[in-house]
Amino acid sequence: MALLDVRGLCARHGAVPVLDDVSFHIERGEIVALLGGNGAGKSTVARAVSGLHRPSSGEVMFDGRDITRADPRRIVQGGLSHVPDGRRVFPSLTVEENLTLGAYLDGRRKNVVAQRREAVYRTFPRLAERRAQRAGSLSGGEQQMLVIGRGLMSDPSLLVLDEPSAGLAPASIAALAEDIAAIRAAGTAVLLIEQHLQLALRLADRLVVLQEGHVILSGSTAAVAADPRIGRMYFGDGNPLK
Amino acid sequence: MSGGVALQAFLSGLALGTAYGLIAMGFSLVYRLTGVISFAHGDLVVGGVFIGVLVVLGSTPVAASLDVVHSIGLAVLIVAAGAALSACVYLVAVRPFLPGVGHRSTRGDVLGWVAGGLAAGLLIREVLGLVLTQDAYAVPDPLRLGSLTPSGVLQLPGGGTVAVRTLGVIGIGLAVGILVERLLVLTPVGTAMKAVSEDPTAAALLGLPVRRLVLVAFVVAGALAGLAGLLISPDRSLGVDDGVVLGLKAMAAALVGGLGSVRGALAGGLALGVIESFVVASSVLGPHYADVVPLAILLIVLALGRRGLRSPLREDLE
Amino acid sequence: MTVELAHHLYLLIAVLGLALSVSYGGQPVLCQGAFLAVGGFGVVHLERAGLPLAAAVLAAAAIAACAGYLVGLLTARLRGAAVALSTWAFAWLVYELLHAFPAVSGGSQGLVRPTPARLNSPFFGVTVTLTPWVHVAVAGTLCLLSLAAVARLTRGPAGLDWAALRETPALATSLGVPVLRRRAALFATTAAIAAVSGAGITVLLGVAAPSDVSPLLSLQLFVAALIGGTARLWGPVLGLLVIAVIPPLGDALAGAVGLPAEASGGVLTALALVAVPFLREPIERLASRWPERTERPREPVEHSGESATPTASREGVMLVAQGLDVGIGETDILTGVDLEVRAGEVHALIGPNGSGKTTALRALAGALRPKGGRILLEETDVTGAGQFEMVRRGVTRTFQRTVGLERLCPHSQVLLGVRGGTPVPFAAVRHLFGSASMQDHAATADREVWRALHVTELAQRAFDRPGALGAGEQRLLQVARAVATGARVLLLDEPAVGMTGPERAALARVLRRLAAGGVAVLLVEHDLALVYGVADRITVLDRGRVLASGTPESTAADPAVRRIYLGDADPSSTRA
Repeated sequence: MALLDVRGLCARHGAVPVLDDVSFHIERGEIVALLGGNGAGKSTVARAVSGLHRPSSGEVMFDGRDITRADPRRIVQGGLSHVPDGRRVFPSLTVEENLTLGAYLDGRRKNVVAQRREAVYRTFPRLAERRAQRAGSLSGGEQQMLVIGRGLMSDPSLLVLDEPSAGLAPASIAALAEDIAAIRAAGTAVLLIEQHLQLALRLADRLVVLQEGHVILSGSTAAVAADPRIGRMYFGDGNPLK
Repeated sequence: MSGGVALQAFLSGLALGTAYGLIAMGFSLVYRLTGVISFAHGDLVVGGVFIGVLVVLGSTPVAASLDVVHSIGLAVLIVAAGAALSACVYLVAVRPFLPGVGHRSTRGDVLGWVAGGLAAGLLIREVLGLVLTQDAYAVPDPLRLGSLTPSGVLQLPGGGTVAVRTLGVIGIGLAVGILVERLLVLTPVGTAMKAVSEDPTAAALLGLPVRRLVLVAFVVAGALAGLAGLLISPDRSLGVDDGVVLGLKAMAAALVGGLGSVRGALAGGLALGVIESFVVASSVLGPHYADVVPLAILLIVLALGRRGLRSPLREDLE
Repeated sequence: MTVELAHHLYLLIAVLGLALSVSYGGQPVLCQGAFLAVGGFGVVHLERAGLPLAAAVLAAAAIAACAGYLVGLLTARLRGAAVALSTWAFAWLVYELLHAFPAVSGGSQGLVRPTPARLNSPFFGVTVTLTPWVHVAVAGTLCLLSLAAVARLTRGPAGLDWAALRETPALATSLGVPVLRRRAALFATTAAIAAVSGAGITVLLGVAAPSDVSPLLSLQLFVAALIGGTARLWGPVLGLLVIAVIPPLGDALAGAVGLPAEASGGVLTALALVAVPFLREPIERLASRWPERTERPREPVEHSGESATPTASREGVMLVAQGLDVGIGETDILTGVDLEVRAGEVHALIGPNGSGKTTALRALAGALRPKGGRILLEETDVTGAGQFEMVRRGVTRTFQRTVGLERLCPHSQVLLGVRGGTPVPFAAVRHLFGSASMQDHAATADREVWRALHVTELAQRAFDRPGALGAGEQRLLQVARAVATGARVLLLDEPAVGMTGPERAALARVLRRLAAGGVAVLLVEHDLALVYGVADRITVLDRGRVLASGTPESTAADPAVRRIYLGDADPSSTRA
């Protein structure tokens, strides 16, 4: 059974349809990248999966349970952690406080929280150096590490990362790629939502490509990357960059 | 104004300002978490006091002296009534109009909570007004601070006098104010509230109980308002309609202290209380201006306040 | 009974005035009672000073208008909740002032009007005794007049402006509508009308008392304006019902339960206040169903067909940024950005998410004040000019998200752009009094609208419901509105978001057509296919700096650009 199974998801913003019959699935320990341009509906998929956006139809199964209309809190509890785009740290709180809040639902079990925090610090040593610093004063790359680390604090079996590479320097993106690979190596599945084609090609086991709210391509990374439509989507026909 | 009189005005201003500060702290706390300007906040003060007095005395207020049991009962009741009223206002008049976090995503309805808050305040005033028909009432003092010294009054250097009660009000008010502010900084609940105020969506995604934290903020705000009422109402006669102006003064204090900052609200309250006290004591302005000046300050701070992108009160037209 | 009717009719005038600010201006104004007080007390004081009644009423209205304009300007920049707060505080301030200064207000007894209820006009040689029926007639006439005036205003330029500043102030500003001044003017009108109403009530009752203009009255008038304002046609009737029914109904209810009568009105007002937000949406939905036009206005014949003659082709550099530094708050977004947009060219600004493209566009449009560097428009330094001024100078921007006026057909929306770009002084007032010159202006404006609609290929959709337009057409409509301001420089923020393939092709045609007409286009865009299809020049931004700039070929060959888009030379890009 798939860890996450999205079937026939439709969603609208007000009257405007954003997603139309989107289906895909993620197995345990797998990285699936969701690709598409601006306005293709990628973030809405993430929001629908994590309970922030109520889909108009379709269903979302996670770990054998129907979470289509569940509350975000329930969904986190079940082991799905959504790291939204835009590096949304709590700027006036310290790095350590930000991380601790990530394990809010296990807040009573102080030892567990401390262990997970140490694990995050091992993955992101830079955060350990800055644990007492306010999150607002971190660099972009460090803030991205922090929100990913915060997402890991609930010990999820699936991490949804929305545009983690946006606005990062190439060096930070390279580091980010290694971190995501390490997260998967530790057994957490990742749904990677990206515009950055190269990052997705490098990390993902499978790709799902969205355009205007439809899935236009999906399959193994090698197969999708070889499809001419992906190049067209990114660069158009006869593009000099190609 | 002689030194003694000035000192006297300063101290009574501080006492008044402590109360304003406590009300303003709640106002700021609620604003920080929800962006809601609580229009019924001042009415919580008056509502808390009168509900407490009506329950304990079983009649319309008279300046009766109370025994120890009744005193404690009244004090606790006033604070609890403030908290309970605040929770009711939130659940009935504010929450239906807040933007939803989670799958109940709505955009929120500003007009809704503005009208809801105004209506809740009006209802509190009108319902109390059905029972309390006089313009103003003297309210018993459950703290009995005046009985600490025989005369209840201390001589000040330079000729003025100050009531022992005034000093007690400053002491208790500041102690509670600072304690609450520290708790909001140091406890996990305080941290979680801060997270909700900075990014409710990210907080919800971590599993924080956003709505429950907001309810807690309203309860704390209501309790602080009740406490403020408990502290100042015995010094003056209190009318059912006094709540609105009290609330507006607290808003002025919160704005002066930087809206959303709990610490600033307490400081702003103290400043406003002292200003008001000097306005009343001044021979140029006098007591006529006791309400006028703080309201004018509120309007000026609102109109000339912080500009720019992150300003919560100003629209970004560009 | 007649006195009550007259009283209610006067209050209805105040409600109609308030509805201007509340329903048309979209501002929650809670201080109408204070302006009633200006009229009521003002007229008594002015009469005591020796003015005849009519002059006293006019003078009081003028004073209220000034006060209203001031309060309006002070609150114009505030968000809705803060407007409610400050007007509520203002209502209480005036109320407290009246109580604090019995010399002004006559104390709790109020001020008694000195002169008898008789109007002498030596000029006309008539004497009118102001019986309650005369008041009914006067108040009724004033109601009808203000209704007619409002109806006429909403059909003219003012109605368009109001719709824009009510629904999307940011869009209105970007199209050159002076939002702050419009709001203040609405506020002043509201206040003046309230003063007339307050004066009428004082003359009717012979006394002005503070308790008659309490903040509770302000709340009641607000409720009436809200309920009445949601439905334009039968709204005033509803408003009158609210005013006339609440107090007696409250008294009757209170009497039935055996409670003091004076408390009941407040409870009912509170209940009505709570009910309004719940009722508003259903009422609005009922009231504002899109009017199905059977007969559609035709476009003028001489302008149908392919785009009107393009404006003479211009040469050379239009808009230049030199070493632009821009920050939002503490964060620096752009550092040392140089950019040159030429007439007749499409210049694309591309770069990864968060590289500062939209910020650059906003800075060029005057929406953000740069921290350093200069912006030149045709060699004039326009650094620090506001967005409003930039529109007047011919620089107009669009928004990344679709901001729309859901109730206005494309023709009206584009007309808004025309009016914003080339304003006609006192257009609303001149339209109200049917000035002949306005017809010429209207005809010119109409031609401009059709030109913009043709350029953007939307002429067929001119009178359709905006909701019926496709996502792509809505994006084109944004461009059309901007074109209509007569812009010589267009700053377009991701116009292709949400467009289908054919719509993108249409957008490309539109952009080329605009450039051919001599317009300088700066295009912020993610869709590289579109960019490489239409752009004459490309600037690539990366983390707030210009990475490369030049022709499409040269930027495509640039190794730094290839690295951020394709990861070519990225040492970490070999697949693990």
